[in-house]
Amino acid sequence: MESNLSLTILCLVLSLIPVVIWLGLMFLKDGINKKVMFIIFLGGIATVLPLFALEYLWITPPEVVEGYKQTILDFSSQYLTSINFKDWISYFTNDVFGPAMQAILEFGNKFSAINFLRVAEGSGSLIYLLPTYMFFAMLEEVFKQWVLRSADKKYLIVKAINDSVKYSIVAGLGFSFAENILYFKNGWGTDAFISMYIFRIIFTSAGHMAFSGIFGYYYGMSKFALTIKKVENLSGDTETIRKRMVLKGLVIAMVLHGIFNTSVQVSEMFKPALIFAIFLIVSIYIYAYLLLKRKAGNLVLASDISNAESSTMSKKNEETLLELIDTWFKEEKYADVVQVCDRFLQRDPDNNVIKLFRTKALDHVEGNNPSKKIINTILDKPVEVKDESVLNKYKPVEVKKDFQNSEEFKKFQEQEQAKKTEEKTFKLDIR
Amino acid sequence: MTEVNITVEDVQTGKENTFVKLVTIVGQLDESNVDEKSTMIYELISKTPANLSLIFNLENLEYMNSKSIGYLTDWYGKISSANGKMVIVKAKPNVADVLQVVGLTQLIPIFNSLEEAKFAVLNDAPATPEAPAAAPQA
Repeated sequence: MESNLSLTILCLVLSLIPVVIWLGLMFLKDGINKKVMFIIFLGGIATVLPLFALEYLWITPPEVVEGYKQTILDFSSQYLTSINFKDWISYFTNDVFGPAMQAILEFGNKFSAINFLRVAEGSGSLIYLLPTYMFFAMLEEVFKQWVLRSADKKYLIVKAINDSVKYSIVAGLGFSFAENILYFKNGWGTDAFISMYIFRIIFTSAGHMAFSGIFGYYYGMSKFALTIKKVENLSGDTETIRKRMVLKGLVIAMVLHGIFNTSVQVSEMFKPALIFAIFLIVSIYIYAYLLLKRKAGNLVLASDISNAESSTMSKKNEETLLELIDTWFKEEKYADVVQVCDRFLQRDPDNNVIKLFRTKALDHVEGNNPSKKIINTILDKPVEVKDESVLNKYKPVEVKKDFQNSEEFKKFQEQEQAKKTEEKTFKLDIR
Repeated sequence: MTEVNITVEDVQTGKENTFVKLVTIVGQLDESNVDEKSTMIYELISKTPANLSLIFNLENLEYMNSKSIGYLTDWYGKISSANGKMVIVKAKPNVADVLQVVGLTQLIPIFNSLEEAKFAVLNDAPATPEAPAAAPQA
């Protein structure tokens, strides 16, 4: 018992090391709310519990129901002696609880995911492995996303898309921490422990963070669906777009997680699969990291409405300008978009749609696009930032201005007036 | 289709090799008519390859949509690269407001009278040192 506790503590410390390193690497200098971050980390740890509860349900044989029934009956006869509905308790235990529990466990055993897993791993076939691991990945991602959504409901932490990504990553790290303890405990003393330890603290932990980060990104987008709907020209009502974004994030995270888990499993039979798994994780992690660096993601879109300044522009002009900005953005006239947005924001400082257009265009001007950055890193010759802007190319006005009081203009006016009189006289003469 | 009427008149310049046209737009430029009507201006520009200046009389233009602003920018590019000038006369406040936010009024100034517009087009601005285009600020 004591050695079991010591091993648990040792594995906890071993799991804590990567957590400290990862959090330090990513959030030491970040303005993230450390208290909420800790709560979300604990939430991430807690998501392991329902998964174990489900697992427990699957692996519990139906025969144990008799024991459960006896425990309830013993408890009632020992402590509920003064209550006069023993018959009811007996009836409930024997005729309702017992059969129901037995049926659930029989059903669970018959369609047990653990059984599927054993069959799939035994078969070594992708046809069985992929859906099985996809199923487990789905459960893990569903629980992890629940942590972020609950925390956001309580603490209103998501004020920019990147907030959502960061907190979601923390939830993923919490989950990974708890999962690692169990893996380390099971693998302790085996030959493969060191390699398993290194792989899990680097790649599996990064994977959990990256998968959660992807969900966080889409959840962040869903929070600002009203703004993003206008910027991206999305059709449909905002609530549907919101739900679609959350679902999309969850599905992408689940699928990538499933592919990663399957690759790791397949690598036991086919080594190159491990390289694929590592490549997958590193790519997603770098992409998520660069995504966090974008200005558009850091833009605070959740502002206090009471502080919002009202627009000094008419609704119709606003619509016209939004259409123009959207068109120019699509035509890659990013510098022009930034300029127009700057002037627009002087008139309507709290317009989130314009703010988002501006930062997205600025990301293009500065080359903050994640995929371009990756290509530039790979290629020796960087890909130039494409910009089709026109306003910037033109020199400022080359016509004469502020001449209205000049002698020259007065003379010109007199000449024009004389011309008009001449024309008038000429017309009169014709008559 | 929304009603819009565009008329083009020659403006006497008294100068050789300087062509000035007065383009008067009356009505509303929107999605239903802007593509069709813009061809008229493009033809006008293509007929006079150099030294063509345009004065847009927008006194009775009620509304211009985003596409027409895009066309106006494009016309400016063509005219200015062919040594011409473009000015606007008497734009309604809503039209002037949009053009100001877009930044076009820095390129295509708005004047209060036709005389002022003509004078600006026919007289060269004093030479100023070329300022580099400002880079967008984060």
